Amino acid sequence: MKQNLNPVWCLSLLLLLFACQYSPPFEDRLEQLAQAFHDLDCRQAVLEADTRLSWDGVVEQLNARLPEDMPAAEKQNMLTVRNAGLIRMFETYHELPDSVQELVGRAEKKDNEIVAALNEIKAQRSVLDQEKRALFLNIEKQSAERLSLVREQFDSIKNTSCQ
Amino acid sequence: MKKLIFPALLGLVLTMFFTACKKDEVVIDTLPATDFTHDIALDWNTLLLDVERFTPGYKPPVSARTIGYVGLTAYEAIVHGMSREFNSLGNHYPTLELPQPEASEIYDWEVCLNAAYEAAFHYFFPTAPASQQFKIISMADRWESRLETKVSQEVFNRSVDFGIEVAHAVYNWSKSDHWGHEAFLANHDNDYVPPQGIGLWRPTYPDYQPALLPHWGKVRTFAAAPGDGVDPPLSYSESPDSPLYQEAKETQMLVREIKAGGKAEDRWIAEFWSDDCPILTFTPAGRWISITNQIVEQEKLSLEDAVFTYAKVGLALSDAGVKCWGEKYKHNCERPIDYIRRIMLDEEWNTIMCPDGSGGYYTPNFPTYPSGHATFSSAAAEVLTDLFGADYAFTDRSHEGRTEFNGTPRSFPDFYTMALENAYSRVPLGVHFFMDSDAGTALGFKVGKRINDLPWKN
Repeated sequence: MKQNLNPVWCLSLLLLLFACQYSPPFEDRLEQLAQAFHDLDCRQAVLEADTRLSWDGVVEQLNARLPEDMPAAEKQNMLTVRNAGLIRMFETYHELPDSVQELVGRAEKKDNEIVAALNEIKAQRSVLDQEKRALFLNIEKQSAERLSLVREQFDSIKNTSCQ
Repeated sequence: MKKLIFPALLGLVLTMFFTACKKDEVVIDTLPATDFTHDIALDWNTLLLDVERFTPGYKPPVSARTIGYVGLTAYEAIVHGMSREFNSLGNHYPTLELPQPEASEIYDWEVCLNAAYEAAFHYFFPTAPASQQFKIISMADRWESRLETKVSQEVFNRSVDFGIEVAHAVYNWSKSDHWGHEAFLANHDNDYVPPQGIGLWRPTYPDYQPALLPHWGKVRTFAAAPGDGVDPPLSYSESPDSPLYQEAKETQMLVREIKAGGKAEDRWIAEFWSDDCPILTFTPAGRWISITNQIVEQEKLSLEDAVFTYAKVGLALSDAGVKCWGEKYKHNCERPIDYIRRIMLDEEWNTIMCPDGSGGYYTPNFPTYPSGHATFSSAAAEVLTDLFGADYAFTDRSHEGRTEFNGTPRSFPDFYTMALENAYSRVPLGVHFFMDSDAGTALGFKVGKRINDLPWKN
């Protein structure tokens, strides 16, 4: 029984455990972070698509309702801006039917909501980014090679296609 | 034998331990800002032109101020990595509290700069529409992913933090400038009543928009002094022999001839420099960032030179806007359209600015004297001449390929000639008298010299 408690083996075991104890928590947390980044990226992609769709609808309506004699270049500019404040600067806007003006107003509201949601995403990303950078730094202090591997894993989770 | 086994095993275990824990050597990129390319600065300044163009409220002076603060942010983010001759402007502005980099620590100046630009765009374009916000995020991400593996994590983190801190400090300084900060939210003061009187400015045909930024002269300047101004305008007179009447006649006739199909080059010049119509192009202040972008690319400037150039041009544009608008509302001179219609009885006369396609044209909604375009252009030309020389020939391709107006590139032997042509362009456009262009040009040169004299270098 005494022989099983050989101090050499105890010391070895202790040192090895100490040497490796940093690994699992970092990696677990990084996996969670990568997933959180991925989720935010996907939310952002949805918002981007929503923005495009919302203005596509406005552009379609404007295109259909703008006067035929409107100069082509001016019409093109009006269809390009995709911003309610700027669209209202065109004189022709005020001649458009109420329904189209209301559509522009709704798109403006939606755009503002998207900007607010985007700012929230940016704030969340900023917090996550600080944590990610701190963890990467801790890993780098142990091994730059390992950081390289961890970064690869991190990116592969983060860059997974959105459903 | 047992006596030998114990030390041997201990040695093996210790070796394993130290091997497991040994920090790998990290190759750190410690290049000074001179050794990086201009790409990050150029990319962000190209994006800036889109964002200022498509974000409501960024009228020329507001845009110029934004360009100034963004330019200063970028400069301060990397100045400590620039050649030793360069100084931070932190000491020059007592209320600007900039962070200092940690002594003897390594920074990557590209990383600093990208983080600073991202934060500055976030701070200075908070109302940008969603489509522009996505572009800003995309630009920041694209550069960050390129940069994050080229240096150690330690250097990367330190550099990002420093870039953000600089942007935050400059933004805080901007916040303390009551009249300038967030002016994009309110271009007009509903309580402002323009002084009444013959020959004084009033809202003009056809849209009678209220005065744009009537208090802009109170905005903080970077270098221009309180006394920097223009000489008094020509005395008001309705006499056909008076200098003012003669100048009005020149504006009236030039526009008439252009509308009749003559003066093709004057029309080209007028349209080429206009940049008046919201949405159609960037602002007249942005125009000089477009010109700077072309120079940066053409000259293949280093990061250091590019950021220094953007900072100087930006500060010059910002001060040009402040001084010019201050003088505009000090003198409150009416626009040619009002003088020509009222005094010269040419009641149908109109400018050729921003055609609406059905025969309608516009006039800017602020007093005429001095010209904003002239002030912006000569201020920028003065600093660009200081940087690139008095005989720097240049072809401006800002509007190449545009079909809505004549944006065919124009070539110039030097920046002063460009500035003078820009100033002149306002007369055939019909929105200014010659005196406005001359005074604006003189004021802009003065402002540009002030910017050149800032303690940029030892």
